[in-house]
Amino acid sequence: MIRGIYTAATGLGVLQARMDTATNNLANVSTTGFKQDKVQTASFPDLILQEKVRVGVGGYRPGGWRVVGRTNQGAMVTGVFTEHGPGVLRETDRETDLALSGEGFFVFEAGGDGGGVLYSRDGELQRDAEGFLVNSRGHRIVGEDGPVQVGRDSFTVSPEGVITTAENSQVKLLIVDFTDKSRLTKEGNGYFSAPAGGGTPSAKPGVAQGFLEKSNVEVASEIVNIMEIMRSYEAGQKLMQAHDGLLDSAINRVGTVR
Amino acid sequence: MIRSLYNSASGINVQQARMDIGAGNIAGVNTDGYKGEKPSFADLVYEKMSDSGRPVPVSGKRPLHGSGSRVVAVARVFQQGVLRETGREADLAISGRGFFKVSLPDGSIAYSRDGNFRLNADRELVTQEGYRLYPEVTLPEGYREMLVDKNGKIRVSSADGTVAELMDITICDFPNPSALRSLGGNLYRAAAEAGTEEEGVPGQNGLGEIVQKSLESSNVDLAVEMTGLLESQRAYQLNARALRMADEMWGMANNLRK
Repeated sequence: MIRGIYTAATGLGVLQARMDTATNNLANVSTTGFKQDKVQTASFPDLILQEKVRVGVGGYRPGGWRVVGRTNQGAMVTGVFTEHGPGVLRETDRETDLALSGEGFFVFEAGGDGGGVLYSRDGELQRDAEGFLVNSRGHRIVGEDGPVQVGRDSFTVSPEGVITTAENSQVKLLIVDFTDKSRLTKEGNGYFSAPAGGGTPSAKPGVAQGFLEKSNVEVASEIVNIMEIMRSYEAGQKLMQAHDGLLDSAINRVGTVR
Repeated sequence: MIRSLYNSASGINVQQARMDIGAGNIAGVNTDGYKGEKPSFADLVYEKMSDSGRPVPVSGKRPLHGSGSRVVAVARVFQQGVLRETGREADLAISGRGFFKVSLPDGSIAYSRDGNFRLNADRELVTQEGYRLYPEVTLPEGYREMLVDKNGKIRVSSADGTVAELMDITICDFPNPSALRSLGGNLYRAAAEAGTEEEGVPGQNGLGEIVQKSLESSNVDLAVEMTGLLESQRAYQLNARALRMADEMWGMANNLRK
């Protein structure tokens, strides 16, 4: 009886985790290059339910157990899975806005003083005081030969990521792809971090100049999702109350004589 | 649950900021030389689910949950506005990059794209507010007509038929004009993040050309702004709704014990 309450409680915990993730997705419905998260859940490992075996008449053999079935301790969150599907490209007509219509990530000098890099699909860029291309957080985008300096003149970007400036100098953006995207970790600020040596240059980045990639959050399915979460939570509440009622009967009613 | 509430609240704040910026842009749709602003959004930090007491496995990759979104930057967009012919000889527009320099009453220099000049009592070219163009341009007494060519050369013909050449109008540019500080009234002040000012002859070295008897209209695209407002309003509703649902779930948790 008591265990039933705890089993129901784990269910409520899982639903809260799903709600946290769903509301985060909805809060980022306007975030450029955002990728939505989905919660993966599973039941706790099964426990074996046993009973003592009677031997002979009137006695139990010590240690004699028989499996009668399996029982379960509830549910848990096994992982949060980021859906790396593409977002819709929105035309902005600004030369410094870049989007990736193919696979891969832009690389930014965002790892602090250690020279580390972080990865992002957000290509909303501008120039900094020295003419380097930076994102809205002020971090420089990295090309094959380090940070990309375009000066103040206009430039064009090819689908392969080659930037051609007005003086005809060319520099190729570093666009990195990962075969196993589940090893990427969200770092906030639109960034992903990756274990060292995991990335390879993207074969088909499909850089689109004058476009931005919108968040890939599916609004309708997310609304359905949170409705389902809320109703499941309600069911969990009722289950808990039913358990409480059963306990109440067991404690206060069993054995009373009217 | 508290996490979900704050996630949704951050989403609401972001949409509110976007709405404010959109409203400001629309207010400037008829202001000559006005440059619209654009907000950039990003997701906030990711935390371990186990820290908020959600049921998770004790080993392996720790599931993370996000904590909403924020406005990461608001940048002014210095895209060219449409040139509109006015027929007034003191109206100058820049077609391309660059700013007029204007000296403020306190002696400091401000920058402007608004070339809606007039002559003051001393026949100096001043803005509508009365701030002098810098370097100062003073027309000779008894002048009849002023002609400004695309490179900023001023020729003044007098009533007696003589033509005098005055000092040229120079304009200047920054690597990152988005970082200029707005003073209101279409005026901007230099900032370190904007980079060093480069002054030059209009139409040379990548600077824009001067077009006389024209003004640069606001670069705000009403259709784009209205679409943004609609989207922003719906995203606001979405987050408000998720907030209400998270609140209801919390209410259910409070009523676990009837």
